[in-house]
Amino acid sequence: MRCEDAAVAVSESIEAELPMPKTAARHVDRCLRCQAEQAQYKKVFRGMGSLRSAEIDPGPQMVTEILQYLQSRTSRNPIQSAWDRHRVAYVAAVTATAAAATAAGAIALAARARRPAPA
Amino acid sequence: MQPRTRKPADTEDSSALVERPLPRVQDELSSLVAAAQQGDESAFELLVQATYVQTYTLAVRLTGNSEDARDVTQEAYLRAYRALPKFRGESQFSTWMYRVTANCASTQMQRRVRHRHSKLPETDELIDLRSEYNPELRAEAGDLRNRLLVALDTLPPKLRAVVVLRDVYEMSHEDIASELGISTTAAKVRLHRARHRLRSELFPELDQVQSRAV
Repeated sequence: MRCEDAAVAVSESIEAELPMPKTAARHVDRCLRCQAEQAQYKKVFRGMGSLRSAEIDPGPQMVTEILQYLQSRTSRNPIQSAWDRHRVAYVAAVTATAAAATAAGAIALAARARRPAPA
Repeated sequence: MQPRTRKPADTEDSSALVERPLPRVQDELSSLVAAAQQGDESAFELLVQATYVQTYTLAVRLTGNSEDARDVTQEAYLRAYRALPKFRGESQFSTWMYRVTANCASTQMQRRVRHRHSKLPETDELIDLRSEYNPELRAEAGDLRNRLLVALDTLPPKLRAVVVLRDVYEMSHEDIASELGISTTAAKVRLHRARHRLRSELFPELDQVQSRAV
């Protein structure tokens, strides 16, 4: 086995915390370079694992940015509320027009009823 | 929700890193998710507040810069908001957010590459800001973690994404492949290349030594 082939087995075995395949293990046992590489991979894995708990805080304004972005992109709420406003205005206008027409009709009928009949 | 002590930062340097134990608020998150799925907008806002630092951190690790990371974070929450009704809770919400974020970062980086290709001919002077060509950055990176962050920064985005998702966030090969839109085999190949390059970047002396058996 060549060092290049052993390298794959080395990194996979460290990641999975499993023993290497026998051929790779035999090679590493006899190869100083691969042993050094194995130790280095372990350091890399340890370092990568430590990054998980090292968080980068963008600051609390990020929450506002996210929520504003959501509001601007989820058109559902703004458009829905705009539609609701239009619908309310439309219904109110129709109701007012109907009420005005009814009132005008009633006044006209009342005026006609009060008018004396022609002699 | 657990109180957090944080230090705000825009860029990733040693002062921006905040050591914090991993969150143990999964039950709280689950109840918030359930409420948000029922249409409770304030529950979703609380979910954002509880997870945005983790999401942003992953976005920085994947994109390599704070500007793209902010865009990716916003887009990730938008996608999460839209997809939340389909979230069945088979994985933890944070894990699900990692996948969504990885997917958004992949899209963002592809967009960046296309944009860069279209702009290259107009560029008068190309300055390589990667730390491998910046001796000052290399010298400043003292301990292993800082050196690792610098080394990660030198990786091409495709390799960086795979190694971060696997070795930092412990996502499965299948999930990584699915979110990045590549085959599982390609994900494994990229992972090996990324690890090899990281190791070579951190320990360059070994690659100069000829292979020798005892």
